[in-house]
Amino acid sequence: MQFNFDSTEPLYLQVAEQIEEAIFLNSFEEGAQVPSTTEISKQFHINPATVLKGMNILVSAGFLEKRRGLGMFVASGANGKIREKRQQEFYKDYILNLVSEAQKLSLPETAIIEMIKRGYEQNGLD
Amino acid sequence: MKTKAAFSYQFKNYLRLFGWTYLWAIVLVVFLPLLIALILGQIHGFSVADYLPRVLPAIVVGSFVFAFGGITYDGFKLFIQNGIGRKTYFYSKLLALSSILLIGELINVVYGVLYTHFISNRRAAIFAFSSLYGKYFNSKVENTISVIVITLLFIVCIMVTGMLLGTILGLFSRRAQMMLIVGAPILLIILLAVLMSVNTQNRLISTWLPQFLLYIIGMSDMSTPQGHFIAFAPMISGSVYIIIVLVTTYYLTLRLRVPR
Amino acid sequence: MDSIKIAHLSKSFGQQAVLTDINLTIEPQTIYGLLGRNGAGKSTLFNIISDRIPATSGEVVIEGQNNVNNDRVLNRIYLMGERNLYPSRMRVSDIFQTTAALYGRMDMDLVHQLSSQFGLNIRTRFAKLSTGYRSILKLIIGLAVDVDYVFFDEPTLGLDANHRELFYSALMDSYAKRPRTFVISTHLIEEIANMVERVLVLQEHHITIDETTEKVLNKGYSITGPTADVTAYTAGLNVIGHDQLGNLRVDYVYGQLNGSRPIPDTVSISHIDLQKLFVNLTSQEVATFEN
Repeated sequence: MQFNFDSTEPLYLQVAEQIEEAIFLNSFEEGAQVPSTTEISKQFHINPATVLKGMNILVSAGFLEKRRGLGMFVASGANGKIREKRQQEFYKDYILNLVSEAQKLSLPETAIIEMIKRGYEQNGLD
Repeated sequence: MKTKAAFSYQFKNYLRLFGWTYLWAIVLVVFLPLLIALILGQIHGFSVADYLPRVLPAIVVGSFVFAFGGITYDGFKLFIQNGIGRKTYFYSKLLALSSILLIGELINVVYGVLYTHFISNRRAAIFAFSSLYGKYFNSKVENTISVIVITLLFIVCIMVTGMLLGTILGLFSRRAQMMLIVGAPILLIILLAVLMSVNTQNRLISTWLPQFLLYIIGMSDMSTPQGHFIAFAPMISGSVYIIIVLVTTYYLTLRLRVPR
Repeated sequence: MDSIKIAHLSKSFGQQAVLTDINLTIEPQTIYGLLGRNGAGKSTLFNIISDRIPATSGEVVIEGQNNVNNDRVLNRIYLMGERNLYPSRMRVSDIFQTTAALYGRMDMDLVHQLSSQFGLNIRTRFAKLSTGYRSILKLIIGLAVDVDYVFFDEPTLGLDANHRELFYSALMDSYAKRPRTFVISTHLIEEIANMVERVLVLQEHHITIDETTEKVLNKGYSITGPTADVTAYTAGLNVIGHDQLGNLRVDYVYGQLNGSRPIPDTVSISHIDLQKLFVNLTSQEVATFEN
């Protein structure tokens, strides 16, 4: 985990994103305990309330679950849910930006589609 | 109020320091002369009474309460850093120092009795005031008690004077303190000189000042025989002095601050 | 547990006013960052709250009681000040013992754990400690002593980067285990920015900002672009400072942007960090003095 504090995003959102990323990359596996608020707070010098706020976002999204007296655990199916969420956000986060930048550069639609094909080839088809 | 914790801390601290003071006093006043005598080979000329001064306990307790009564600012700093206010500092210090004074006096009395019985029949320091007040009452018990009370009050006067001076100094910066320490005695000498010169020119002062002093120490007139001075006079004047000085010290203590 | 309420507090030294009509509530269980330029009066404010010096007027009420010579409430706060009030001949271990005795309670396990982590030799006399280790000694006491309010005035003075990291970790750990109020005054703003929940800015004898860190950061913007476009966009906004590089201009704004005003394509807007915000907010101070 690492935090980019220059980011203009509120810190609690960064905390949520970083943990989400770690779950998505299976650094925290489903059913496993994630580091406690105190541990994260202590290691990254972030106010525990901020950390908790970030974690609670993941709890309400269903990626984490609280177990009374034990701590926070990665919810079952969390990985899939994150994938689903990110797929939904892909259009807004990437495609719209891509199109708007392409228009600024006067790149036609066909050229963009061509480029996407080239990118797949280079990365190895899947 | 955190008086209990504050008192207990001050008392332990003073008790430790009192022990050290005694140790140093004994080394300086008893062992050093003895050692010098030994080295010079004059030990035969020494009697026990010579190197065991009868005033030792009185001097130790008197100078201790004066000196440590006078150390104000360091104690205040430590207390305010530890969340204890000026009032509690004042009371706990007064209480702790008074306890040491009582212990010191107890040692003094015991020492005096032992000294008179075993070492020399000269009166020990605890009974110094008996030459003035020792025959005021008709019973021996009353006389002994009154002399002890007067001695106690006298040492308390020394203690509160130390506290007052220390608190006054505590209000000033180091530079102003030095100026006060150097300047105050000089001013006092000048004042005395002026008084003396005034005194020789007209006899105004000689009419009431000596009268007042005599009244304070309990001489009804110049012809009062030694030992028959009024014992209540120093008790009353001493108590009044102690109260005035303590009240002044208390209000000055409330003005202590850091940084000054 | 109640708050610290500061009402109409003023302090002047002779003719020089340092604090003027300060009104402030310090809430329980909150970490504050007190920011101010050198000489803004941060230490003076701390010294009055902890009753080391008297206020000229106004009062400090802690847990419902006036603080002056009031042991009950003074005993609930610890000020790690810039002044060293411990006897210079006293050993570190005795200072710990004294603090425990006079405050009543202190976590001695934590004291020993932190002493060894920081490499503080408890046999050393106070006078022999370096500036850094004097800070460390007072930090350890601040973290271990049982109080509700801890005031750290320049806590990292003389500390190297490793020791600062260690301190921040210990602070977060201690706060998480027993939430209480810490008010931290420091020039190393970025290092504490993520720990403080509320920001206080002391400026020109007044508290000019008293808000949650999140809100403060939310109100800080940098607007970058060609000079003409930027100044047109920021006209009427609360511009607290600017940078100019040729025709490229950055305006720093604190407060609301004008939502109805269109953002030109050439202009980009982003948030700024606490340090940048503070520097721009308080750089005006010098300007007003010069004028």
